[in-house]
Amino acid sequence: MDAVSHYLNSILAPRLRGYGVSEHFLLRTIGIIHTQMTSLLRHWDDRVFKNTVLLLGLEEGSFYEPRAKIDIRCFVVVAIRNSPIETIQSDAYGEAGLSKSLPSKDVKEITSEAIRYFSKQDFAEMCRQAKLSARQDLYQELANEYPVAWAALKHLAATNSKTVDYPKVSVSEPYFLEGVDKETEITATSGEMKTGIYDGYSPEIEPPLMAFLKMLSADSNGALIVDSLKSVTRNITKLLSILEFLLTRDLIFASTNYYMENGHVERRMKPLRAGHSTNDMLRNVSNTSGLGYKHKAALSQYAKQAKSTE
Amino acid sequence: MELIASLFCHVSESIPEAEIQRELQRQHDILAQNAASSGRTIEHCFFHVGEFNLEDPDQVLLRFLQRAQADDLGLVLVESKDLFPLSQQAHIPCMEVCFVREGVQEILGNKDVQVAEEDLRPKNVYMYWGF
Repeated sequence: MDAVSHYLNSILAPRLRGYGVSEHFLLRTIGIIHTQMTSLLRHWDDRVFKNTVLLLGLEEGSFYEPRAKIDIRCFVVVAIRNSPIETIQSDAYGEAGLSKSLPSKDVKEITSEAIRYFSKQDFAEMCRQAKLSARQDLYQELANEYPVAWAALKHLAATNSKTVDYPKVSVSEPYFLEGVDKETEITATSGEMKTGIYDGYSPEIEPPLMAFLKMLSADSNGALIVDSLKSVTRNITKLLSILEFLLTRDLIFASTNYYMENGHVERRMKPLRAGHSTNDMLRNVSNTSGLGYKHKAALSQYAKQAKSTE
Repeated sequence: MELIASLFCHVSESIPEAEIQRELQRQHDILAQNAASSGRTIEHCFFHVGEFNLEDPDQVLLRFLQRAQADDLGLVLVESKDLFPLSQQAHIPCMEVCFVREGVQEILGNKDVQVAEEDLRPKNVYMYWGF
């Protein structure tokens, strides 16, 4: 049995069964994680591609324990944590067949165990085996489907520079996001902050986020600001579709650690830990020390507008 | 005081599309290594593709000039002079450029040259926080 199959069948599956999840949820979760792992491992020998995917886990992986290599911690975030495992920790735990949500210490045990296991594995060998797999190449498909978002992430991952300029990816027409372009009465005010409590892996775009995207789509000079990538979603397809929606409209996406527009990206050199409360989040957004010039301007503008609407 | 550098990578459009990314990454890796060996942190990185025309700059060149005008490029690292064909009297904001292959450092441009500034602040911002 290869290292990935051993982890899924002999380590993760018994653990999830031990928490009492339904067999249907278990099979779906294992299947998604297997695809994500195989798809990432298939590109492990392509530094730029691998780093583009791992970047999606950097905000969290930087703080994961045990303190193994950062690539392995990010691998665990992207391939394992960003999966229906999120559902069992959310208010949607019933979908997993549970009678209550899983405490965060149990989820932390899943990720710590995975880091310990994969720290002992030979990633070059796992890459070789993944290339032979007939499984879906999820990340390559996403790169093809969301070229503008992918280019932004790729340029963030390609260098240790604080800011990167590159030729804009040409856009024949803005990316269409189902639901956002419907003629429905949704309004939001610039400078407004909204908090949503939803299943972070669900592919659905929740109403408060939908309202913001709708307002932004009618505006050529707007920005969506979030605390962290995971505060938007842990579902990579949903994340890339939202980024593609914004960037193909020349809109700005900014988290406390990243800034993206089509043709220009910026990063905070030492990522801040994602907020777990409103106070954390406001403190993160207010921390513009050491940021690139556009990132700093966007976060400062939010603080200014938020004050004026108080 | 922190020493900073900015990397300028350039390819013309006369090479096949598939090779453009590889060539930009190759230049980047050489320049990033040079910055690290001289103890400089990288502030800005410019990946430029196409005609090197500073009289009618495209978006990447314009941002490069704007950062020069803002005086926050630090030392500009370029692989070789043929990738950055400018004289010391070039009509650009002042910048200090190091040509890595030739091993020479030059100050180019003129402090009196002004380029249009970009409005950095988005008009409308929305903050979403899900958990």
